[in-house]
Formats: sequence, C-alpha cells, structure tokens
Amino acid sequence: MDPHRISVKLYLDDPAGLDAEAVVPPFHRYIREDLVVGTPIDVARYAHVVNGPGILIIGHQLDYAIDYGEGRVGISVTRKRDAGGAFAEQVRDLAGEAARLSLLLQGEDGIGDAARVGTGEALVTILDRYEAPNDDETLVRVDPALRDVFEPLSECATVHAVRVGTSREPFAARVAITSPRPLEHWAEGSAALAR
Amino acid sequence: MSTIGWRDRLQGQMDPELAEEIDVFENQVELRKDGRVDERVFAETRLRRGVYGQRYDNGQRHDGVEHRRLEFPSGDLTKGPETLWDAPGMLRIKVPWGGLTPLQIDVLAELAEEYSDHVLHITTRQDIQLHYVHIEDMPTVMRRLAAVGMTTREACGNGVRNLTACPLSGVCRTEAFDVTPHSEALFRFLLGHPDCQDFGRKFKIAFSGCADEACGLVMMHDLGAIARLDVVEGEPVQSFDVYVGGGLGTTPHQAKLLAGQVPPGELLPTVQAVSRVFARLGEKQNRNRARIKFLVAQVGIEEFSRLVAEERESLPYDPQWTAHLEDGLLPEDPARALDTGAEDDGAGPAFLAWRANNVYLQRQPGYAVVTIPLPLGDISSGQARLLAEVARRFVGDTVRTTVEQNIVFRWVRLEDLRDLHAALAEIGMADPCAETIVDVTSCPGTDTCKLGISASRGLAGELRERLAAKSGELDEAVKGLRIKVSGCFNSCGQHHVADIGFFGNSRKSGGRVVPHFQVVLGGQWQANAGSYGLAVGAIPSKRIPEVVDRITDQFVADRLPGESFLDWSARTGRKGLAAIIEDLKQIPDYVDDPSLFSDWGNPREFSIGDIGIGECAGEVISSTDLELSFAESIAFEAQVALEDGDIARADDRAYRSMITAARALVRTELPDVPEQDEVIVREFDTRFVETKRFQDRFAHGKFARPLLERHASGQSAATEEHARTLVEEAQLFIDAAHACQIRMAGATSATQ
Repeated sequence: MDPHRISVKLYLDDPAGLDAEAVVPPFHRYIREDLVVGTPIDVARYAHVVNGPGILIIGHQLDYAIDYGEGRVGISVTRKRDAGGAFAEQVRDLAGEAARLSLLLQGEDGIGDAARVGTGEALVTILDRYEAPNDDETLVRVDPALRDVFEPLSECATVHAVRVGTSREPFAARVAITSPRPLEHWAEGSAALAR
Repeated sequence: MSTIGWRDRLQGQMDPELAEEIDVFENQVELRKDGRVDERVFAETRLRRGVYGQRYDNGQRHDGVEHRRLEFPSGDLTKGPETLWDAPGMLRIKVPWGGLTPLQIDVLAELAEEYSDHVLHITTRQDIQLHYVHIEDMPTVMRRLAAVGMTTREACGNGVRNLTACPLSGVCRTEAFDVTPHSEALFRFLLGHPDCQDFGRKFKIAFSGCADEACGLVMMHDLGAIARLDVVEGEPVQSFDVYVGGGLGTTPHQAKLLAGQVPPGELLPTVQAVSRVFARLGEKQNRNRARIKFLVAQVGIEEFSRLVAEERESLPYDPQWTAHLEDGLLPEDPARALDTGAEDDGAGPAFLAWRANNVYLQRQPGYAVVTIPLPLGDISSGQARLLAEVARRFVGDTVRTTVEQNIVFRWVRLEDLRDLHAALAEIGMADPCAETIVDVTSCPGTDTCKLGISASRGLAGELRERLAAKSGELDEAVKGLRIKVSGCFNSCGQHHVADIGFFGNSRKSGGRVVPHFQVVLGGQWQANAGSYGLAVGAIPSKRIPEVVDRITDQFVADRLPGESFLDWSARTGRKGLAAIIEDLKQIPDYVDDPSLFSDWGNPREFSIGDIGIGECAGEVISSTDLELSFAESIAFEAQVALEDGDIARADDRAYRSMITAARALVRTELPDVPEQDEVIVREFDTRFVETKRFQDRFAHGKFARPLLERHASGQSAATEEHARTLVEEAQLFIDAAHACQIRMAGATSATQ
C-alpha cells in the first residue's frame, strides 16, 4: 500500500481550553524560526468553519493543525507528498511531529497546558480512497503497521485499533494505547523528519 | 500510484471530450516536467483548465522580519513564468448557474480531503475553489470531477468563465420565466467553442429572470441576458434583453443594451456573434484594456450592435442553437410532493429568527427556498458530506451556490421547514444571518491570492463576528445592508455593488507600510447591479470596523422615513460621507499603535509584497508625501465636481491630481522640475514609465496610461461617463504613485 496522504491526530486534554486564534502568532514564528519541517508555506485560518481544519501551518510536505474535525479538537499532522518510507515509518514520524508541536505550544505564554494532548488515543487517517477505502480489509492491512508504531509507545505494548466512519469518509483507525509513554517519548519519533 | 488507478477506474464514466482534454493536460504536465514544453505555453494551458497560481508560488515569502526563499524539492522547475512547480495552486471548478447535486458535493468533499485543505470555497461567481493543490494532482482531481459531470475547463484564462444565474431561477415570484435551461444551453454551447478561443481577456456571462431585482447582476457583466415576458396578440412571448460591456475591475462599467427582445432561439447565435466580434476586434496586446467593456466603449454601443448583427448574418447554421428548445424545457421537479402544504405552528426563537431571514417563499405554493449561509464562503469536507445528506433527505438535487458565497436548497416543503432547521442546526449550519449585514462577502485576498493587497478575509471575518454579536440591537434599516470586501482594486469581492464596500490598498507612514481599505458606499445591488458606489477615502484596515459603526450610525440618524442606504448615500454626497470618517485616516506613530501596521489575522508586519527588503525612511513626512496628499485632495475635488454634474471641472481636477502626483515623483530626482505640464509629463514618462519603475508586477503600467493619454489628447472629457472614468483612474494613478514611492524608499514591494 502506498497512500499519498496520511494524517495522525492527538486529542487535547482540555478541548475547551485552547483559543485557536492564539496559535496564529506562534505558528508564524515557527515558520520563521524553522521549528516545523516539510517546507512550511503559510498559516491558514479556518476557525470560522464548524468542525473544520481549524488553524493550520500549510506546507509542501506537511500540514500542522489545531484540528476541529469530527467535532473533537486536537493536533494533527498530515503528510501530503510521497516522501518514501514504509507506512509505519510515516505514521511514526507524524505522531512524533504532533507530539512535538504540542510540546512547542505548551511553551508559549498564554497557551501553556491548553495545548497538552493525551497519548492514550490517536486517530490515523489515510486520505487516499483509491489505495485505502474505508473498509475492514484496509484495517486488516494496516493493523500490523499500527502495532509497530504504537506498541513501543505503550508501557505494556498494548494497543487496539478500530475502524471509524462510514464508507463515504476516508479510512480512519482510532488507536487506543494502554499505559502510554509520556509525550516527550512520542516526540523523539519525529527526529528523522526534523533532520 | 493512485493517479493511474483513478484513470483506469473512471474510464468510460465521463464525457469523452472532457476525458480527452484531461488526458492531453496530463501529458502536458509530464512534458513540462521534462522541460519539453515552454513555461509560458504551459501556463496558458493550465489556466484554460482552471489551474491557478497562489500567493508565494514565486518561492518568496516575507516572514515578518525578512524575505525567505521557499525551498521546494523540484527546485527551479516552473509551471509558468516565476511560478514554481511544487508551489501550491488553486483549482477553480465551474458550477454553471450554481447547480449542484448531493453526489457532486460528496465528490467535492472527497477531493478537498485528499488534495486540498479540507475546505470547499464558494466564490462570488458561484464557482467552487480548492486551494493548496499540487499541479501533479490536478489531472486526477479533474477526472474525478468529470465523472460526476463537473468541469474546470476555461474556469480561468482568456475564455468564457463560469456562467452565473440567479439562484431563484424557476421558483422566483417576480421572474419573467425560468432562465435555467437557457443558461445551461449557453454554457454547453460555449464550452470549448472555437469562436471563444481567441479572446484577449476573460469573458463573464450572467442570466437574470427579473430586471428590477438583484437577480443575476447582469449590468456588471461582460454579457448578460435579462428575461422578459410580453403579451403579443393576447399570447405570452418570452425573450431576452441582451446586455454587453459591463464589468467591475479597476474601473467599473455598466453594461449597455445590445439587443432587446431577442427570441430564445436567437440567444445562442447572438452570443456567438458577440464572441466573434470580440475575438476579432478586442485588444490583445494591452491586457489592461482587453475586456470587452473597453471595446464597447471605444466603438460605441450602436456600432458594436451593428457589428454583431453583421456577424450574425454570416454565421453558418448550427443546430445547437435551438436543440434545447426542441427537446422541451423541462421544469425542475421537487423531490417531495406536498402533504399538507402548510407550515406547522409553534416554534422557538432560533427557528423564528432563521425563518425570518433564511426562507424565501417560492411562487409555487407550498414550497420555499432556504439559504444556508457559509462563513466567508467556506465549508469543511465533513460538513459538506453532512449537508449532502440533509439535501438528499429534504430536496434531492435542487441545490445551488450563490454569488453571496452561500448554498440554497430549493423546493423545500413548508411543512418540512422545522425539521430542516433542526437538521441544519444539528450540523452547525443554521446560522440565521442570510440576507443580513452579518453575511459579509469577501474575495480570498491576501490569504491565497497573488494580487491581494490587504486581508479581505481577515477583515470580513472580523466584521462578521462583531456584527453577529450585536445583530439583535441593530436598527432594521441596517440589518439588511450588504458589506462586500475585495483584497485589491480588481473587485473580485464585488465591492462596487455593496451598500458598504471596501477594497484593499496601502499607504506609507514613517517608513513603514500600513494596510488600508478604500471605502466605497452606496452601490446598488438591486436592478441587476444597477449602479456603483462612491469612493470616499482610504482608511487603515484596523479602523474599518469603526468605519462601519460610524456610517451605519449616521445613516440611522440622518435617514428620511423609508429612505434606502443608496438614496441616503446619494443625498449625503461624497463630501458628506467622507467627512464622517475623515479623522480615521490619521496614522499614529508606530510606537504609539503598532497594531495598525499589521493586518487582520496576520501578526506579521504588513508588506505589499514578498520581494524586496524592508527599511525605514528617515522622515516622518517627506515632501513627496505632502505632494501626494495634495494630489489626493485635488482628486477628491474631482469626485465632488462629478457629483455636482460639473463635467469640465471634474475632468480638470482629475487631470490636475495626476499631474501633481507625477510631479511629486519626478521631484524625488529632479527637485527643480519646472511647473509646465509638458515638462512634468515628459520627465515622468522618461524616468518612471519607460524605466518601468511606475509599474508593479501585476498591474504593470496600466495606471500610468490615463495621464499620458489625457495629456496627449489635450481634450476634456466629453461625457459624464468619460469624466467618471477619468476621475476613477486618477485615484488609481495616485494609489500607484504611493506604491511607487514605497518601492523607491526600499519598503517591501510587489515589483521586480
């Protein structure tokens, strides 16, 4: 399977605690100070769109977002262009980048803990209906890769992935991670991307 | 790769001609990657398939501190002159007469997720745009659209753009007859037509069923048709009044009547004849004068009509002219037959507010049109899918986009209104702001457009939020006003026909550049965009909300009983309107209020381009600034004279203002320039026009032309229309002089 677009989303611990517009200045600064990767281009503001993509750093290879999709706010990172590497490696990198962005934002005055994400749950979406239709067969194909990615992020190496959404929606797997490791551990996974 | 997979999967599922078009384009993409197609040729190729560039696609972006190069993997490979291959682009999808189906909405949502930023954007011409799409994904996106009957063909470039029509066509209480079948026939006829491939510029067409309502806004289009119904010998006879030569842009023109009472069977050949005349006689070299409005103005409507009639006589017969009439013009069918045909009694305040603003009773008893407002014209892919489901449940395929960037459901049973409201509320789409001042329209502006000067969407979003918060307190006369925002003078936000309109520009202050919006008041939405607003002054962007408050407050305080905003604006006059906001023009020092030096939603210090290096000028107010300010005062005198009907004075003042602005620039290099107009114009031409220093990369040299031509001719404007054009061009000349001064001072610029 060689999907061209993959997204990983981690959910905010306090969904109501973060004002999306507050991330706009830091997002511009992250572009300026090369704190995000994937050839960032600009900051896009869609906080006015209900259950929409929120506030994004739009890049050539990656989009980073405070994401309000499916009615739950979280931090998502989307791989858009084929950068090579196996599916599992790409998911690991994206999860790491989402964790890293959360840590970066937690260091911002006026944001702090509002940007903290939980590590007990992740949403992995494959935005490629041709390669990965939203059906059980796709879940069977990706499940081993999801375990490869998320079991090391669990203290007891226990994860469980379920498919979510209808056949009209892109394939998405909600991964429950038992006894998850700290966010900093997740962020180490993005080291390859940041190089 | 899924690209090949989608091509194979969708084979046979689309119009063969469209399929071939897409195959050709895909080949062109590969040839361009290999360097075997010239970049200019490729640029025209992709534009004719709706593939646009976006901001920063030249690989440069000012990050608020310095200019940075965007390093894309494909390096310097381009998809057009100075448009990098990997830089994101915009895809414009035609939605002829706004007609959409739930299936099409589903596919659009899929494409937004897989290739764009999860957002569908509805434009002010009923199109849908996807942003941040990679050029190599475009063929696949086009194929998936074609498989559900949608095209991007000629959505951009020098051809016939999307054909718009009133979203109430066929259900309107005041229309002469349903223009939808004729709109569809003309759209199909002109798509890829040989007579439409050699235009010097774009061509926009609109249909209206009514003359007095806003309807299709025919008067501001290159060509438009207004339906009429006459009784001849006791029988109803349908025909069209065909108009030509309207347009907004930098200098708005009202369309002129080309031919009245054109029979439906003659409509298509008439438009074909217009196309041939435009292709043959329209300007091709100077893009700034290439719209059909300039040709019509140049030859006069009578001569233009004669040319069209002559061309019509020479046209070989084409059965497509009347095929749609011979097949029968089938009306749209409601998805759900009436049950009780009546509304239920009793409902909460949320429903009642929504019912009051968002529901229009159709002329067909028992049915209504419901407007679903989309903030800034945006809808997420997830919402779009949910909306498609709601549409299937209540109205089937009778969905349309509108030029106010919303969606309407037609043929909603009155007995379903409460359930529909509940369904929309559940998915967050029951905002009761349709047809109100809260529903601000905006072009994309600096968010994604390369031509944007100021943050039109940022401003529109801020106004929307503030007005929504106090909508309950607004005077009834204010609630129904329209606000429209354009990011620059090109008028994509249609600010000329708003009650309160804005278009982006900039001014220099203390060596920095400040985002501004020109305030345009009293445009006429009704009567098919019957008249255009008055420009009353440029105000810093961050002060625009206060402009809205002051203008609306003054309107409420001053208006005569029943007086419209349009009439109040005309009665108050440009001078009176300008006085309301005059003090807001003052720009404090940066240290006193740095907020004015960035734009809405963008913390970066404002710049008018992403090329160049920003640095402060030494003086707070230079002599050049003073002279340009003086030029603006003279330009304002011209506007007042025009309003007073003094054409000679309006012409003189407009000319004088340009001479003054030109002298201001010349004096930066030749302090002792003599006062004679001849010398000033010659020095200006030599130092600033011939050297291209007066032009920017997007407008090129068009703003210098009015001064040079007016001086060369030595003749005053003969008509009010000529004087009006010169007065407007004078303001644009002064804006360009400001921009030139900014570039000269070393502030960031849009020019090379």
